[in-house]
Amino acid sequence: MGISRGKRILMQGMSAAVAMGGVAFSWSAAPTFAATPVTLTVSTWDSGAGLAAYRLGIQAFERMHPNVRVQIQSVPSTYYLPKLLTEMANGSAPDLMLVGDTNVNAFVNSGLLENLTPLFRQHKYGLNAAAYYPNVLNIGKVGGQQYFVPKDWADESVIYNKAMFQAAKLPLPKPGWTMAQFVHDAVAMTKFKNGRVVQWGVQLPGTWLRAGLEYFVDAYGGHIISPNGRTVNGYLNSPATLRAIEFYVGLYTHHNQISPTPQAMSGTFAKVDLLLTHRVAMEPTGPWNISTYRSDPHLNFGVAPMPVGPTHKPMTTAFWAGWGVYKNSPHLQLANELLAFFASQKWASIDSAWAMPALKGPTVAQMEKKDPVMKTFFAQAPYVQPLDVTRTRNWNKDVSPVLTNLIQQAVLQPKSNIPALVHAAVQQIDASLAQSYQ
Amino acid sequence: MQAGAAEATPGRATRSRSLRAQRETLFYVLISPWIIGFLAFVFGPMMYSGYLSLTKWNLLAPPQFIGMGNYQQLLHDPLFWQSLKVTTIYAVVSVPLGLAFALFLAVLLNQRVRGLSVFRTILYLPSVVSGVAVSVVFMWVFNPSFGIVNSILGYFGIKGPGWIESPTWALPAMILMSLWSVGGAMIIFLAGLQNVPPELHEAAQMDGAGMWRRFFRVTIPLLTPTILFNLILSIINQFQIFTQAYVMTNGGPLNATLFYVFYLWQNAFQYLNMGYAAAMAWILFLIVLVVTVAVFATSRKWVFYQGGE
Amino acid sequence: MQTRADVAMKAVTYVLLIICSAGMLLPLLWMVSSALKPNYEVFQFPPQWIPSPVQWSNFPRALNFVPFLQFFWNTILIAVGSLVGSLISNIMVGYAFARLEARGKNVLFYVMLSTLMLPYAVTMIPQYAIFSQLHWVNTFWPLIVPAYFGNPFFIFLLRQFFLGIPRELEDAAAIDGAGVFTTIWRIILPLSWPAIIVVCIFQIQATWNDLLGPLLYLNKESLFTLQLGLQYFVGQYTGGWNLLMAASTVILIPVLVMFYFGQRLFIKGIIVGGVKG
Repeated sequence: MGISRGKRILMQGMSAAVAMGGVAFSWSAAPTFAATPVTLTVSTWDSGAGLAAYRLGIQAFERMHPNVRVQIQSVPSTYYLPKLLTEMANGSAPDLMLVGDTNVNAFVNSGLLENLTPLFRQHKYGLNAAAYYPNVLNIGKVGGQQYFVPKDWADESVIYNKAMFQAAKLPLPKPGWTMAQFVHDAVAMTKFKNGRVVQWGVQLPGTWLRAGLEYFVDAYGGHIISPNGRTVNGYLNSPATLRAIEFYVGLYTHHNQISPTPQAMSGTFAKVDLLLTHRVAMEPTGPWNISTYRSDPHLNFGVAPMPVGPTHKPMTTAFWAGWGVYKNSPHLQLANELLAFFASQKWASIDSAWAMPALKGPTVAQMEKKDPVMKTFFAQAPYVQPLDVTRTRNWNKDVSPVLTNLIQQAVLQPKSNIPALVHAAVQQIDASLAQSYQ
Repeated sequence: MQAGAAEATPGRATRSRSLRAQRETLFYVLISPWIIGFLAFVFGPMMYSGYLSLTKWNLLAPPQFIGMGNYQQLLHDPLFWQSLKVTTIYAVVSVPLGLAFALFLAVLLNQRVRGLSVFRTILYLPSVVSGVAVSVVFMWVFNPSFGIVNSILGYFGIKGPGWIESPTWALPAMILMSLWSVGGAMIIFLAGLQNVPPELHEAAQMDGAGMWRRFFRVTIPLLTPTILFNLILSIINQFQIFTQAYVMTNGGPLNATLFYVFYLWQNAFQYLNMGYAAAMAWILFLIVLVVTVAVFATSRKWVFYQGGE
Repeated sequence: MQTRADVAMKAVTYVLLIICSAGMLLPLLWMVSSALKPNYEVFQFPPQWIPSPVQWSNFPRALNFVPFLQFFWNTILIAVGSLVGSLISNIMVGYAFARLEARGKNVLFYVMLSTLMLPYAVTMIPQYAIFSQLHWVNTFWPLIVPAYFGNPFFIFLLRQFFLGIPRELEDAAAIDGAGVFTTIWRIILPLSWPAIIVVCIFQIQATWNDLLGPLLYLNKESLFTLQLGLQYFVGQYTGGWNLLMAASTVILIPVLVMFYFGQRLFIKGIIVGGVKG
């Protein structure tokens, strides 16, 4: 009969299929760690060459803890949060997780992270707040409590093409140079051919808020959001902040194309460092591409601190990520020890080949001695500003999209009334904040 | 759907009933893999997302039930309407355009010319490339001053627009880009064309039908099942366009490419607003379902199955 | 005998094919050319199409940058494992929807299609929870097993092709006493060969290009797939764009070769079909 015959073939088919899958599985399961009692998982968005530091670090940690294996969970940055949040929602987050500054507040608020303040107070596992650059460590605090330990950090400085300064007969930028000089130099080094830009004076960060608008707001002595994170009224529309926004937008609209537009920076040039194309004289950014600049035999570059604003104080903005410990970790104590390892000189010395350690001490001293470029970056540590983003619960939802839109609109329509745009933005953000704090 | 030909054979009532029961059992046996998989891996998550759409959930703390709150809020969210508008325009233009282009390429590739395998592979190639490389490549293709598109336009004396850097032209750029990867639909059409028996063409030719007449009277009718498939699938897929916005435009400039699922994704994983995202998902689900059912309803008039339905 | 019109047709076909191919290839040429440049030259503009000097060493560097061979094998395993399941389940279910009558069939068909309409972003977390309960995280199971339960896309595709096959052939077989699996094997499959090839190509390619699945379920590097390996080139302290382009180019090749040989079988499909029909 058709059916019984059908069933038999079906069963055969299914069992063959399962067998195939089984073969696939047993091949894949070759490297097992079944013999080891404890596995800690560490999640990070670093990948590729950046993982080499982790591997070395973990080897060192595993030597100190022979019964522990550490597994790195490396997720590309675009998918980092989706995966981490999926795991957290599932109650199976990594024991130690890297969190970016814009998410610090939300993660702390969830109550899913271990409060590290007592560990620091008791100097447990060698944790010592005094060993850090204070402003860099403080970014990991919410409500005065320490929840994150910086993995490493970076600050914003102006990287410039020396040859272009020399060709324009301009003095190289020095610490203490002003916004006016910055604009003057940018205009002087912007070159046209047949009405088309062939060289920009500067690659401004466009709608990258941290490196762009946020720095200028700091430099004008303003703020974006209240200390309790519940309103932007009286902050985003304060005179200082308003002037900073007008200045930043004006860099695009008052001068003739001294920088690629914000649209270009999030379009064609989104993945491009224009210094490497020899088409731009200055770029306010972090130190990530230094080694690539050095690989270009034709690029002679230098570094200067960010230009100072009307406050006349040297300032910089920090690029930051910190380690937090998952409170529901089944191995909380070991997770804390691993965190402490990432806060040790040993880790700093390993990581220093790729990044700027947040821990002061011999490693940094050596880097500063060896490399004048990195020395300039480290020298800005005392001027790192607290970040407004850690003040509020949901910066990414309530604040960031509105500011991005504000910049795009003000630049695309150069005649727009900026105070009116800011006023509208304040209304919109406050309505959204009210929901988040409901 | 009508009863199968085999069942139409006259016979005693009882025999035909048991035969029908057998056939029904056979049907359920054959589709059992899908039913089991659906119940095990798909149904639960779908229902759960329906529940989530009635909650406020930041993925970190437990969800809070808020009834229809998310749906009400959506009605007053300008970005929701913007994303719906952008996505609808995109789908309405790119679905027919993409299908026409895919069919055109498939017909070209079904001719008897030399080097056919190479041409097929080249035209399919773009749908194989994926990931970051594509987005980087297309940012350069669409560069206003030196990108490939504007260079070609410039050759004909046309000054090209700002494409992905312009709020007006970013969406057309996305549509243009979607044409680049029609390889999937193309290859399905090509497979469908293999089912057109050459004898029918020869017979039509004998009757004096010209090339176009043969195409519309012989090829197209036999291809309608494939057209229906590509149409439905491209509606479902284009309404869910996501990656281009995620890796290329970030929804900009000025929300010109704020595609629906991209805004949904932002709500879910960047704004920590999963309940809201779930509500958006179910609205999209209903829209696409209605469109699909409508297309199926009309398909009875224009889709022709050689084997009968 | 070729008429003049036939020759003209051929010429037009060639011209159109060449224009379309050029349009499709241009963006990819930039990718390949970038793969042969030093990193600092990748974004030079106006773009330099022919790199000077040509840096062939990018390819070995890219391939040594990550354990490529391991990732390649992992991907092949997942691809083969899910291909087998996909073929078995989709042909069965597709045939049932095309040829068998049963109450609730229409509703089930719409339910099946509708599962494609809900964005993955909102079912991702509960689905992860299921696989996590099964202890399938960090194994290939979540990437292989679902293929054994059919995929609405393929089921619908096959249904459409099966419906295009004249019924008389099956009726003849049924009279000869053939069961349903014999019918599928002897009659349906040979006649829908091109569709089966399409399913194979798409299934393998889907595995090849899947990023989100492996990304969610695989943590151990020893289990990584090629797409996860590609992500190693994107990021802060990475090898660079030239290496990414080189790696992306290399990853293309196996799928292209598969496609090249797969589509050649289309023609064989007609012959078999022609003889039987």
